[in-house]
Amino acid sequence: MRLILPLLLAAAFPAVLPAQAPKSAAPKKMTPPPPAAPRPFAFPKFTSRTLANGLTVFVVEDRRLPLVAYSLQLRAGKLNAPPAKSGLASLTAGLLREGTATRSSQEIARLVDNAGGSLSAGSGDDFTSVSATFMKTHASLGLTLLADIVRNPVFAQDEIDRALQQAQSGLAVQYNDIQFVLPVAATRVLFGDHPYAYPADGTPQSLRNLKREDFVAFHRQHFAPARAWLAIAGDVTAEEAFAAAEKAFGDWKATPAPDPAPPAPPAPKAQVVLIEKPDANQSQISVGHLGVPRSHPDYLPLQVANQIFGGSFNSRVMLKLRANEGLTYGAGSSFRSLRLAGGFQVSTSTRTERTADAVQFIVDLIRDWKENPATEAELAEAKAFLIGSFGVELETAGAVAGRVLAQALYGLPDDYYPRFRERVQAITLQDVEAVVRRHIDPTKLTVAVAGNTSAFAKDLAKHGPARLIPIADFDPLAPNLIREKETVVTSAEGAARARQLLDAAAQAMGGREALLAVSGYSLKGPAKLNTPQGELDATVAERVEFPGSYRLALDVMGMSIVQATDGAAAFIAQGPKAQDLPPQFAAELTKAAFTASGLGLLRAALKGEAELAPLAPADVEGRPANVLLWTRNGFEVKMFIDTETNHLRKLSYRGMGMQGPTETDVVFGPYAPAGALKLPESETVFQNGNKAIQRSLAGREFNPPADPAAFRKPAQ
Amino acid sequence: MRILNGSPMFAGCLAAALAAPALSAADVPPPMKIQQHQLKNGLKIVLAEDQSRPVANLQIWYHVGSKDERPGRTGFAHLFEHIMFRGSRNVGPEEHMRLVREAGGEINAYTSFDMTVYWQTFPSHYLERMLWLEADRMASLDVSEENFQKEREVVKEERRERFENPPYGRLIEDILSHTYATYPYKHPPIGSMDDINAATIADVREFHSTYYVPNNATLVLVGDFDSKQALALIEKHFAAIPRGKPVPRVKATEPSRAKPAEIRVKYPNAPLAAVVTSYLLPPMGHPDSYALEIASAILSSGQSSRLYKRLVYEERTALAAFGEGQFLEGPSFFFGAGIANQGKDVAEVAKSLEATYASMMEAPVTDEEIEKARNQFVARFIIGREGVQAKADFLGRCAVLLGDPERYNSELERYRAVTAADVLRVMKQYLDPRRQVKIWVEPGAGAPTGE
Repeated sequence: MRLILPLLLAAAFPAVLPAQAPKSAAPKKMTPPPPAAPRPFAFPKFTSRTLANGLTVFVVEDRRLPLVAYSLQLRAGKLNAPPAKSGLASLTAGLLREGTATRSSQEIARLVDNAGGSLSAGSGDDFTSVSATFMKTHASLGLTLLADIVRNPVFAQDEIDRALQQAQSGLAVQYNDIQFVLPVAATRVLFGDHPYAYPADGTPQSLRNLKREDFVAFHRQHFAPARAWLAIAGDVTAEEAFAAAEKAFGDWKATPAPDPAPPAPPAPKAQVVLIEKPDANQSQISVGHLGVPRSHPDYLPLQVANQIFGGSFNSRVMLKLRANEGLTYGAGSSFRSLRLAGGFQVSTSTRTERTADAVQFIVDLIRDWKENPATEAELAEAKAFLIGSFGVELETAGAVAGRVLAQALYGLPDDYYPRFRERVQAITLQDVEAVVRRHIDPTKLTVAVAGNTSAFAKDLAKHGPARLIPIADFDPLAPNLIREKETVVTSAEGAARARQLLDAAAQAMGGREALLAVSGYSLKGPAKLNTPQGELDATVAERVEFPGSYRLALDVMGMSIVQATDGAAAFIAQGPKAQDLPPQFAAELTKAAFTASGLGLLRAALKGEAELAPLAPADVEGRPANVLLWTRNGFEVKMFIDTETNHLRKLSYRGMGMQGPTETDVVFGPYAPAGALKLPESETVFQNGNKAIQRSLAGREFNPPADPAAFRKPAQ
Repeated sequence: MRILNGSPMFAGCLAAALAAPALSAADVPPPMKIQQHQLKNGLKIVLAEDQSRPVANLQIWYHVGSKDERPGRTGFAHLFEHIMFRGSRNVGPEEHMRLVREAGGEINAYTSFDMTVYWQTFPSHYLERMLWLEADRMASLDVSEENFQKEREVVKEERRERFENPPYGRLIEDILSHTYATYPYKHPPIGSMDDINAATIADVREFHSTYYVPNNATLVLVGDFDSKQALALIEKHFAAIPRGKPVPRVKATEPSRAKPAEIRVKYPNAPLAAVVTSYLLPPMGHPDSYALEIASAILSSGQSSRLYKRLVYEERTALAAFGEGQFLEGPSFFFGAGIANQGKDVAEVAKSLEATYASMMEAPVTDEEIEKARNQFVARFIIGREGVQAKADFLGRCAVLLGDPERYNSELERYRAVTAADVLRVMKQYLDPRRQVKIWVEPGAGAPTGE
C-alpha cells in the first residue's frame, strides 16, 4: 500500500514509506480518540392547555431564532379508511392546500411563498400531519393559513382530478417495480385484513373508487378538535401562543366519528409469498413477523436490540450479507411500531442466483439472535448511537414540537423525550436479552420475495407454505392478493347470446362480408395527449394490416416516436434511432391490431378465432350497453355494445403500458360511414381511469397496398 | 475584490435598512458570537459556541476549487475530494464515514469553483474524534492505485449521468466556456472526460502537498463545545502538521465584455431548440451583488418568476424557462434560458427572454416581487439556519470567500436593504445587451415524420 505524504513532511511523522512496503513494516495504526461523556443537555420546556372544544395545544418557547413552527396532528389515517378506498387519507391530506372556502390554491401558494414560509400536509398509518414554519413577523399569517386549510378545504373537482391523475401516473410505475411492490406485499401479508395492511397511497383500483364525496366525508368525520393536537414552537411566549391558538381554533366545532376498533392482525405463522417478475435480475427480500405497538414498554429496548441486529453499518445483518458474503450493498432490519400494532422486518436485495442463500442467512441470523441477543460491546455501541443521534435529530423548533406531540399521540409519558438519553443509558444486557427472547420467533417468519421467482421458488419452500403472484396480477385489495378476474358464464345459452350480440355489432359496423373484406387500413390525424403537465397537441399516424401487424407513429413536441410489429418482432424508434422491443411488448402491439377501432376484434370473432361470452350489462356514459368478453390466446377484451344502436361504444382491457400494467378503456365517439363500413370518427383512451389521449379516427384509407417494411425495424 | 467596511455604498445600504419599517426589523436573528484564531502552521480557526443542543458541526474548508486546476487537469479538485474518503495513515477506506454515522452523525463534502469543503455533524461529545479524523487526512492521505482507479470510474460515471446523458446536460459547460474569455471559471468543477482519464496518482500526491496544507485551510466549528477545550484539542491534533509552501493563487482577470457574442451548439440528445443568454457579474460581496441576487431570483426563481410567467405561462413560446445567478469569489455570472415549445420558433423565445430583461430595466419591479424575494432571502438566513451545519456552512463562506467571518452577522442586512430602485439600476448596468453572450442550441433528435 503506497503512502502519500506531503513533500515537506518532517519531524512529527516517520519518513516516507517505500511504495510496496509489506503491512508488517508499516507504523502501527493509531485508534481514534474515544468519545467523552455525553454533554449535559436539557430538553426544551413545554406547557400544554386543552381548549374547550378538546383541542390540546403544546407550546415550546425557543428564542434562538425569530421563527415559529406549527404542527397539527389529527388522528386520521389509514386506520380510518376502508381498504377499498385506500389512499383516501393520504390524498385528503394532499388536497388540503389546494383551496379553501375563501382562498384558492394559487392564493395560498402565493401567500406562503411571498412570506418566505412553508406549509405542508401529509398522512400515514395513524395520523394526518399539517405543518407550517414562518418567520416571526409572518407567524400569525402562518397559523391563519394552517387553520384555514385544516378547517375549510373545499376539495374542488378539478384539483381532485389533477391529484388523482398524478397519483395514478405514479402508481402505474410503482406497481411494476419490485422495490416498491415487495414491501407492500409483505405488509399486506403480515397484517392480514387489519387496516394497517393496505398501502397508504392506494392502488390503481382503489384510487378509481374515490369520489369527491369521499374526501368531504373523510374530512367531516375525522378532522375534529377532540382528535387533534397542535404544537407551537419558536419565538413566542406561552401566553401569546395559547391566545393565537384560541383565536384560530377556539370556535372549531366538529364531532368525530367513533374511533375504529379493528380486530388484531392474524397470528404470525411461517409462510412464503413470492411476487413473480421474470425479467428482474435482482430480488427484493423481506423476512419478518409482527412486532409491538409504539406505546409498548419493550419498544425502547427493542430499538437498542434492533440497532445491534440490523440497524447500523456494522450490524450483524450488514456484516454477514455485505461484508462477509458480498451479497448486497444494503441490508437492515427495523421494528415499525404504529399506534395499535407493529411489525419487524429484515430487508435486503441481491442477485437472483443468491436469493435463496440470502434468505437462509437471514433466517439463520434471526435464529442465532434469539440464542445470543447481544454482547456488552454491541450493547454499548447501540446505546451510544441512539443517545448521539437523538441530539443530532433535535436541532429545529419543529423537531422538538414533533417529539412533544409524539408523546401525546402515542400515550407516552410526558418526560419520555426529556429523559430519553437517560432511558437509553439505563437499558441493560438483561433487558435486551429479555425482549429479543420475548418478541423474536424464527419459527413464525413471513418470507416475502419479489423477482425472478422460478429460479429459487423450490429452494424457499422449506421456509413455509408458499404462494406465487405474478406482479401484473398483484392486487393488495384482493382477498388472496391476486386481482380478481371477471366470472364468465359459459353455457349453451351464453354462447348463443354472445353470437347474437356479435352479429348485431357486426351488422351495425357494415356487415360480415364488408368486415371480412378489409385487409387493413391507414389513418393519420390530430390528437391531444393529457399529461400531468397539461395537454399537448400531437399527430398520430396508425397503420393496421390484419391479422397482427400494427404501426403507430406519434409526433409530439418536435419528437417522432414510432412503434410497430409484424406479429413476430417489434421495434421502437425515436427519430433515426431504432431498437428492438422485448417479446412482451411485441405482444402488446399485436393486441393493438385487434383493438384499433374494434375492427380486428370483430373480424377474429366472426372467423371463430376468439371466444365470446356475455357479461352483465353496463352503462357507457349514461347509455345502456350489452357486454361481451372476447378472449384470444389469454388476451381478454370487454366489448360494450350499445343496446340501441349496436355500435361498439367502448373497449376495456388490461395491457402493459410503458410504465407498467395498465387498465385501458377506449371510448368511441359517434359513428359515421367509413368506406363500406360504419366506424367511430374519434376515440378517447383512458389509462387506469385517467384520460390519456383523444384523437380523431376520421379519414381511414382501407386496404392500402401491403407494405411489410412499414412494420419492420429500419436498418441502422 | 473585497467590500470595504467603510465604503459609501455599504453606509448607504445600512441607512436604508435602518429606515425600513419597524415590522421587518423584528426578524433579526441574534448575532452569533464568533472567535477567530490561527495556528502557527497557518491553519485558520473560526469558532461559534451554541449549547442549545448537544450537537456540533466541524468543517474543513480547503481554499482550492476548480478555478485552481491547471489546463489538462480539469475536474481534479472534485476527483480529489472523492479520494479524501479513501483512507489516510490511521483511517481505512470509508472508515471516516462509518465512524461519523455510527456516532449518530451525518457527513459529506462538496467541491465548487472556489473551494472544497468537508463537513460532519455529530453528537458534541465526539469532538476530539472528529478533529483527529480530519487532521489525519490533512496530514497523511493514503491511497492505493486500485482505490484511485475506482474513484476515477465513479467520477466518470457521475459526469455521464449528470452532464452527458441528459438532453441539455452540456448546457452549463457551454455557458461557462463562452461567458468567460480567460478566467478559469471557463470549465465546470466536473471537468472534461479526457482530463479525468488523464489524471494519475502522482497528480494526487502533488495536489495534496500543494493545496491540502494547513496554511490553505480554515477549520470552522459551530455548536456545543467549550472554546478553550476545543482550541486545546485543535492544537493537539493539527499543530504538528507542517505548514506547506505558499499556495499559488489565481491571478487571471476577466475583461468586461464590450460587445455581444453569439454561438451555435448542437446537442444530439435534445429534442427541442433552446436559447441561453448569459452575462458577467461582479463577485460575491460586491456592493451590487445583493441587488443582483435579488434580481436573479425575481427573474428566474420558480413559477412566479418573470421568465417562467412570460415565456411558459403567458406566451407559451417556451416549454421551460429557467435561469440562475452564480455568485463566486471571482467574476460571477447569470444566465437565462428557454426551451422552445413544439411548433414555436426559438428566435421568438430569444426575443421573449430579452423582452423580459428589458421589462426589468424599464420599470421597477413590483412591491410584491421585491417583498417576496426579500422575504425568501431573509427566510434562508433564519428558517434555513436552525441547524449547526447550515450555520457553519455560511460561516465558512464568510470566512473563506468573503474574507471575514464576522460578515455572518452583517450580510442579512445587505439583502434586506435592497430596493426596487437598486434592482432597476443593476439590471440596466449588468444585463445590458452589449454585454450579452447568446448560445443557440440546435436539437439533434429526429424531425417529425410524415407517413
